[in-house]
Amino acid sequence: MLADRLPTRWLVTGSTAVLLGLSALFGGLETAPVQAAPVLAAGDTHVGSELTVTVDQALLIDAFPEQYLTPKAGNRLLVVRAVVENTTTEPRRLSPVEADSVGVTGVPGLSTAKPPLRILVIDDGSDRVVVQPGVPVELAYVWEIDGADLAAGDTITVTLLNRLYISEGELTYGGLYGDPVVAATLDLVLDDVGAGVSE
Amino acid sequence: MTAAVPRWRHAANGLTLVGILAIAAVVLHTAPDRELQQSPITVTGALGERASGRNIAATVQSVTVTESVTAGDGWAGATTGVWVVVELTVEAVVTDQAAVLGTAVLRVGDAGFSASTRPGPATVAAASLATGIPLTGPLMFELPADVAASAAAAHATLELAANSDPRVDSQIVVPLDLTADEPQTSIDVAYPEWGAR
Repeated sequence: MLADRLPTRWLVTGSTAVLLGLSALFGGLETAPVQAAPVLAAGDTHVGSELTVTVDQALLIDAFPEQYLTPKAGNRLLVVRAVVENTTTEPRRLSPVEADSVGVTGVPGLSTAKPPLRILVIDDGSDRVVVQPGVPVELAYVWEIDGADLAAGDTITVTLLNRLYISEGELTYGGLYGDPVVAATLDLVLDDVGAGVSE
Repeated sequence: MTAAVPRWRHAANGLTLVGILAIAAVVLHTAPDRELQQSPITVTGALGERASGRNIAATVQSVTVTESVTAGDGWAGATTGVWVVVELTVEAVVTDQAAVLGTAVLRVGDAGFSASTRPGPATVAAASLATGIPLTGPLMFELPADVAASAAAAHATLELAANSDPRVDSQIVVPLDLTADEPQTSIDVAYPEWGAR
């Protein structure tokens, strides 16, 4: 038999050559372009897998004393304002432990995955946010940052995140979700409202 | 050479096998599935009547659809939809340990809406229940205006359970007609208080 006499290394080399040859049809070993997340402008609406998000503004503020939210001395609060609508049929609690709807990148001293310190409903300042199906609500995502790191006029990048459903759990009950993925980004120029206006 | 197996033994084996397969099929198709094993134990109530489960008893007094609601402590949160305000009396039955009105969900059609925690202490949503001492107060739900006026809103259901996870425990289900009365422009509701009203 011919196959019995064929040296193994010929087989390995041969099959590698065939695979490489086939890959040449799809661009060979060139770096494949990664589809970048779409870049939005402020005020654009992003339709995500579960949430539709419109980010209007990012700003710096000293504190929200009425919400007992006062940063350490020298620190300030970075606020991203967004209107969020739940497009599923079940209420969705926005996670306080994982950035899973809106995040920020490009902020010194703040890791990309850092969840907001607090998410507030702008209308009444309540902070346990559950987005009800079909009822858009304006939210403030609040991060604490070092006051020296950002100033008015600086640009930050806001990431809009999709939570991807994997499957129903086998051993656990309820749906399993993968890590949030960036579905769109937008660049915002920061405003500074100082101490803000009291409600 | 072994003795030939008699023909009736073959037939008997075949019959036994068919029997086992039939029993297995019956077991497989009648066994409670995951949803049934985990589902809450439903107690159906009615508007104005007391319904009682293992560790929760509740009476829904009224349901009102309104554009704005002012709570007993002055809270008057705005919504882009409408508020559905349910007044009810609720108590724990056997223990106040971990008895919290954690499940208060209004289902309209295939959508579920959880009672808003935005009013904080001015709502009985997520309030601690006491054994045998009724707590009376409002639940506020945010619904899209078109959903609250839809045909399905006439057959809405309110689900109440003394736990945020209602599985394998009593869940009171009260059918409600959200379209029975005219929607209001604004209403005032009382602060939650101990005692039946």
